[in-house]
Amino acid sequence: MDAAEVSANAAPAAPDSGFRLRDGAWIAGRDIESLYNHAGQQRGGVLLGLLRLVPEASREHPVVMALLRGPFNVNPVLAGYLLAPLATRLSRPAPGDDPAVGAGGAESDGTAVQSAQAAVRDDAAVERARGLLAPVLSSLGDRLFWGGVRPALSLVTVLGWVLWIGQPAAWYWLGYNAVQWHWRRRAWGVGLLGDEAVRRELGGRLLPRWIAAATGTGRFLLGGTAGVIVTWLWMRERLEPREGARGGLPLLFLGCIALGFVLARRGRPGPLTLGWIALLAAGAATLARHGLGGLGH
Amino acid sequence: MTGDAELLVRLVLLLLWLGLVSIDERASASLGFHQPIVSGSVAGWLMGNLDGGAGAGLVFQALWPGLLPVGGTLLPAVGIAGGIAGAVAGWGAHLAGTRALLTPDGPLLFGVVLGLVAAWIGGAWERGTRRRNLTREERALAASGSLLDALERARRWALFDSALRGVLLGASAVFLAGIVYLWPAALHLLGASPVPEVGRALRPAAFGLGLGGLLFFFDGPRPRPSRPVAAGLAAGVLFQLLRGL
Repeated sequence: MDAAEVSANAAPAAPDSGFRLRDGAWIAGRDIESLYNHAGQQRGGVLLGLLRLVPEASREHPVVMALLRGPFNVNPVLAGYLLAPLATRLSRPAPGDDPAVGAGGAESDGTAVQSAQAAVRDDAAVERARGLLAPVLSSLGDRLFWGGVRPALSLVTVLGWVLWIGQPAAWYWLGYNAVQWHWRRRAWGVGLLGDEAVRRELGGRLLPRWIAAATGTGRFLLGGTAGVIVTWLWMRERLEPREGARGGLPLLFLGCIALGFVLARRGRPGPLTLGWIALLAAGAATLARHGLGGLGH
Repeated sequence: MTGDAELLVRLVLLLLWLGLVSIDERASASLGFHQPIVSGSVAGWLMGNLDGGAGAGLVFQALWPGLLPVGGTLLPAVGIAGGIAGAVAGWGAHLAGTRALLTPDGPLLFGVVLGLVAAWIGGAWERGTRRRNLTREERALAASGSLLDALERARRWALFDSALRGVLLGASAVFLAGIVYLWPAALHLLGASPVPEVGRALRPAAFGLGLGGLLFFFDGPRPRPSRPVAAGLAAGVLFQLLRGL
């Protein structure tokens, strides 16, 4: 990427930017998955989001043409890193839309050449986003949300439910939306600063730190949950949790938890898997001690 | 409001909720309504027992965190599953601990089983949705006129497709739970149905199926002959049930 391109990308970050931060993250990001299919993947949803932000963009705009050429897939929460720069490019008139082009004379020839160069740059930017940045973002996003935030919050719900700490659904919903909206807004904001800012962000330490923090929190909560459930099984009569949590429910938890992790991570028995298997073993030991019949009364 | 009317309202709200959950799960927004603990808690609350629904949702939440959607992998519809399990557990909460349902956790266990089946069917539905999305997208890209308008139209059909999944799966599960399980169990336990007549138990469930059938009629810009027939059948059954009860 040359200096002129960085400069052109950076321009919309000015206060008079046409893309409002919050609205852009929501308008462009909310329907990315809506038209998901095996051929174009998120292409339809991405186009829809971009065209909502720049409704005057024509079908012949280089960004639109490049997006139409192939599939597109990115983590929906972090998509702003790619969509904001593309929206910025889309907001510039396409070569055919510029009234100066085709007016004749040497000046218009020069404008036509500049427009053609801009079109080539737009095309290259889409290809770079599709082939280079989107896979990186997908990988980071999957590790952060599917491998870190969601399991950790799921454990919070288990603990919240067993220990009577508020409504578990509220904890999950508020926690997940707080994290995802932070990242949606941040991704969009950084994306508006241009390609260079996005590359700096993706090469930096922030996302890996968040991933490490979420994973570490999840492991800590896993240990806590194991202790709570085993204690619950052992001292069931005195620690009866909420209404409806009778009988084999703890065993159901244990079975589902173990099954879920074994299914997901088969062939990759890391420390987390071993922890979950230990949880199952503890449940089985308790079952052996008390018997299934005793758990039902 | 009479007990029947209240149950009817609850069931209609439940089906609308499951439609929203299904949209949130695969098509739009992704605001976390599709997490089983959330969908189960709300469904349980709608059916009269929030904690029962939360417990059922939590079972799927515990199953869920390990699943990793790599490369657009088709996942089971756990949001709908949690909602269905939560609804059944919440609806049958008055039977929990009585052993009228073979085990003290009968409503929960039955809800979880129904939810697992729904999760599997919902995943299969998603495969069809993606196939239909491809057609929708191709049609939008080929359409003359505004590309934005064409894509918006395609998106609306895609959202409808997802909502339909939640409504139909929810209606089927509620029907099964009401007719096959909760009603006979209550009869066995209490000596009388929780609602005075079989028909009254059928009515709200049939309403849900009828609603699903009517929605089915509008699926896609190329209607098939079987769809209006199915919709008419559902509407007829619904009409008769409402008229006769």
